[in-house]
Amino acid sequence: MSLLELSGVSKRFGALTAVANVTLGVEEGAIFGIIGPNGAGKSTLFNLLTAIYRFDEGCIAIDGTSLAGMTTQEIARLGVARTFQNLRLLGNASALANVMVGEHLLLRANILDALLNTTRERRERAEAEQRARELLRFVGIAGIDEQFARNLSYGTQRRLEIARALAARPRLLLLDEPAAGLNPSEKRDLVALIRSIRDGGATVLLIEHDMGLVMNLCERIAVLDYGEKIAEGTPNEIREHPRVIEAYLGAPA
Amino acid sequence: MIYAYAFVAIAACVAIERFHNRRAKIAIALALAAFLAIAPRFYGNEAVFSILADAAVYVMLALGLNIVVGFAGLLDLGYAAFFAIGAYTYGMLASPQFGLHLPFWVLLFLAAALAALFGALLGAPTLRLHGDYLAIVTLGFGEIVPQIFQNLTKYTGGPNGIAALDIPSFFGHSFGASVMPYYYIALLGIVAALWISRNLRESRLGRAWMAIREDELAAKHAGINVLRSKLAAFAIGASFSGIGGVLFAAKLALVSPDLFGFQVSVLIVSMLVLGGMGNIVGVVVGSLLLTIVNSALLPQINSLVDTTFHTTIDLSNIHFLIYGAILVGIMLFRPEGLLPNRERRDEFHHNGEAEAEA
Ligand SMILES: Nc1ncnc2c1ncn2[C@@H]1O[C@H](COP(=O)(O)OP(=O)(O)OP(=O)(O)O)[C@@H](O)[C@H]1O
Ligand SMILES: [Mg+2]
Repeated sequence: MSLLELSGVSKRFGALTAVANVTLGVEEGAIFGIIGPNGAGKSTLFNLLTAIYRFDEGCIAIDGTSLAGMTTQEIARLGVARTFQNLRLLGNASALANVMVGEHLLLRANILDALLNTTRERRERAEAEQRARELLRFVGIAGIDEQFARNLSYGTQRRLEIARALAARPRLLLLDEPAAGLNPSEKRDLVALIRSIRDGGATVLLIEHDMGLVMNLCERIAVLDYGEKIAEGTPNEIREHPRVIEAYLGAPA
Repeated sequence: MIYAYAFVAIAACVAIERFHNRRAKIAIALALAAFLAIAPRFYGNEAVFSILADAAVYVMLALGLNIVVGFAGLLDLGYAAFFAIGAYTYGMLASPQFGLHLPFWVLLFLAAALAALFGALLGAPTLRLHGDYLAIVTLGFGEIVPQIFQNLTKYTGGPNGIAALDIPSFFGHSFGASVMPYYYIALLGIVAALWISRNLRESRLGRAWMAIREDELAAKHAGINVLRSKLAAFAIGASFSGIGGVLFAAKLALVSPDLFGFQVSVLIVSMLVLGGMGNIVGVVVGSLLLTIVNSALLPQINSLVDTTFHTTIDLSNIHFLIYGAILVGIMLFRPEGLLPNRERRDEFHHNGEAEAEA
């Protein structure tokens, strides 16, 4: 069984069908790419996966659990974490604090622990901080721990957001255009990072416009166009697929 | 004399804020606490300590509101409602009103619990509101609560309130007419409030509040239960003012609905804005400054004006004008408050200073 399964999922915004009858399966441990022209519905698909929007038709299941009716928070508990196309860092918090917020679900301290600063609170905080520092190192931005997220360079912010998502130890990681705005050397680092995230046990679903990067990194790719899935397959299959070539080069938008 | 105390306290707070060494901070805080505890031995003017006791209650209120507004980012314009609930808890349960004379110490905790409960109850309908809408609804609650106390005449004495509240005692020693016990209790209350504020800020819950304040959607994606975290902020914040309300009512030996109106909520919000929202020490400074202006400086200026010009002007009528002027001044010249935390300072002057500092 796939880790993530969508069948016949649709989402409409008024007259516009942003996601149209999409069926998709992502295997556990995969690096799966989603591509498509601007406005194809890729980000909307992610927003359906984390319940920012509710889908109008179809069903989505993670490890067999249906997401219908679930809140964003409940889906996070299932082990789904994401980054955003337009970064959503906590700008006025340190890089370290951003990552520690990502660890929220790993911690148990409750309101009483908070009020009284109990040993559990202190122990968890120390552990969380330790892990957060390690994660910053893992994504390649060690040493910026105390800096405010808003003051970091764009590339660093992108990595920081990945670190925050990883902090929850997700089973499924959703990356929305992680390479956007990165220079070639940063992109190479990103490819290596995503591989090592997968090797660490997470399944990665990624939206990306950089074809070279997607083809190099993903084992399977799905192509969306006007909300519809027009193709799915290995990078080689996608490269030669007539409808993909048409969507990207041919037919006028 | 009152200014000397206020000056020492504020100077110590500024020093605590400026020093980066943890030891130094603790040393200054301890020295200040010792000074405030011992000072009455050498200078025993009750009038001064009466004002300081009131100031200390306001510091507690401001620290409570700081949890809601400063930590969780929920603009609550009706915070005086919980002050009223605390005060009426004492008024109704320790007075001839029902012939109930529960002990002051029990009521301190009961009022904290009741205020927390009402904090959660009144917070619940606002959980999905943001910004202006939240402010307006909380403002409404802030008006409704004193109105209810005013109109439940049978239980609350109506517009006249309840008088002749019990004088508290400590192991059989009545507080009598002295204000000193309230001063000391309020100081202890501040110490507790400071400790709890700091604990909360550094806690998992505190980080959840910070995430909600900065980006609610991102907070949800981290698995934070936004509604429950907000409720916790409302409840904990309210509990501080429940305790403040009991102290206030017992010291005055009186409660009446007009003591807890909108102007009180505005005053406390002004304290946060003045001092630097979110920053614990800044909030203390802001609330000290405003209470001193309110209860010492203005009356003195008032009598000075009257004696000089042989008038009988009542300056208290223009208190709001003065707050307004202070707030406008702060907004123009130091929008982040007098002693902001790093976050807010940066928010208002994001020019990379923090990078140089870090
Ligand atoms: N909240 C919304 N209300 C109305 N329309 C929306 C909303 N969100 C997205 N859309 C529309 O849905 C379509 C798909 O948008 P989406 O953001 O999913 O595209 P995308 O594939 O991520 O594009 P890009 O590559 O530019 O990020 C677009 O036409 C967009 O305008
Ligand atoms: Mg998009």
